[in-house]
Amino acid sequence: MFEKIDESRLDILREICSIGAGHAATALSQLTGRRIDLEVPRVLFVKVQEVPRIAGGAETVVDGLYFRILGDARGVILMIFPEDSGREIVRLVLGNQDVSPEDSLSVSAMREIGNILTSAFLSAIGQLAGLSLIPSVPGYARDMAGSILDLVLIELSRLEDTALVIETVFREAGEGIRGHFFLLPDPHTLEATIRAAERAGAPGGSV
Amino acid sequence: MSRVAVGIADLRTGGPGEVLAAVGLGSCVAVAIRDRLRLRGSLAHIMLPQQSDGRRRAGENMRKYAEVAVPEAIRALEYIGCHRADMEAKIAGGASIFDSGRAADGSDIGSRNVEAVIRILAEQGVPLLASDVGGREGRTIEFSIDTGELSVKTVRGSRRVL
Repeated sequence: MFEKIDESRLDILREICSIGAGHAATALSQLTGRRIDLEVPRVLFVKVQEVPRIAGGAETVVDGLYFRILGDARGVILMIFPEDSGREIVRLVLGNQDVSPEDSLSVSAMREIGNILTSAFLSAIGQLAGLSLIPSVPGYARDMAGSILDLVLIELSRLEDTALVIETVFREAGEGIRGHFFLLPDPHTLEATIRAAERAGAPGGSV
Repeated sequence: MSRVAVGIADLRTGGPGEVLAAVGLGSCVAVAIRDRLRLRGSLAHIMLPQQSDGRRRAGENMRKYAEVAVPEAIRALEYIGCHRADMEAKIAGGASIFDSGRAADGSDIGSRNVEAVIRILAEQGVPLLASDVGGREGRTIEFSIDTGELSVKTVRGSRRVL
């Protein structure tokens, strides 16, 4: 299904995701009071089995936030922070309080941070493409990356054995905070999203 | 002792001295089957109970489905000389990792996987000796072909041996 997407459409996808991720990175900078940069998003076609590896290995302990995209297009957003980064973000957002990661305050802070980043990302893309994109209630878990990815991979594999993964890495200028942002679009609605972005004159395409 | 990693939607067989491992099982289920007399075993890392619409796509990896992987794990052992009457199974996995972690259709995939595996093992006539399933935590498992032990570890440091 994904084979039909040509290079110029991938460029458009990369470009709109780049803008969306830029908004999310700005939101994260404002929340934490640190300068957070992001890498240019990579668009990858990977076998479903390979996804845990690009997330840093199936056994790495991470904070995972999971959103379903609702509205005019479907898909899944997964944010993964290595556990020390997750802890650092929560500490900064809560104003240097040291709370245990298991504390409910820390869990709801993490969830809220995910909400803000995802909403920033989706509303930027939605505006560019003229689509209404809404995040679901976030799911949160701290566990092995493999376990966290299971649900997403299972949903995807009902349709495809290859996942289109849009990946961007958040990185604090100093060190400290790192994170992966994955967008896994539903193959059925991806075409429509790209077409809408094309019509809306999104930059990046050679059309 | 050699350790063989069995990735998601994969299936491996092993012999004496080998340990088959599956890392970071969330709602996936690992099915470990062993011929207790011949010291051969297989491990399947399944993702879903069965194909939902019954239409196989070209090149689709069918081993992600319990209905395909479990019978295949048994046949793979028979192919190398094992007898179904001497086979025993243990299973682990099928957690529900996310608090809001239900599938798009509202079902809990982990428990559906577990139900499917239990039913298929019964249909295939392989007794289920032990299981460590459900809950909210991911698991890493190691299956020793020599002893038949299935060890289960979680992130919070708990360790059980089935």
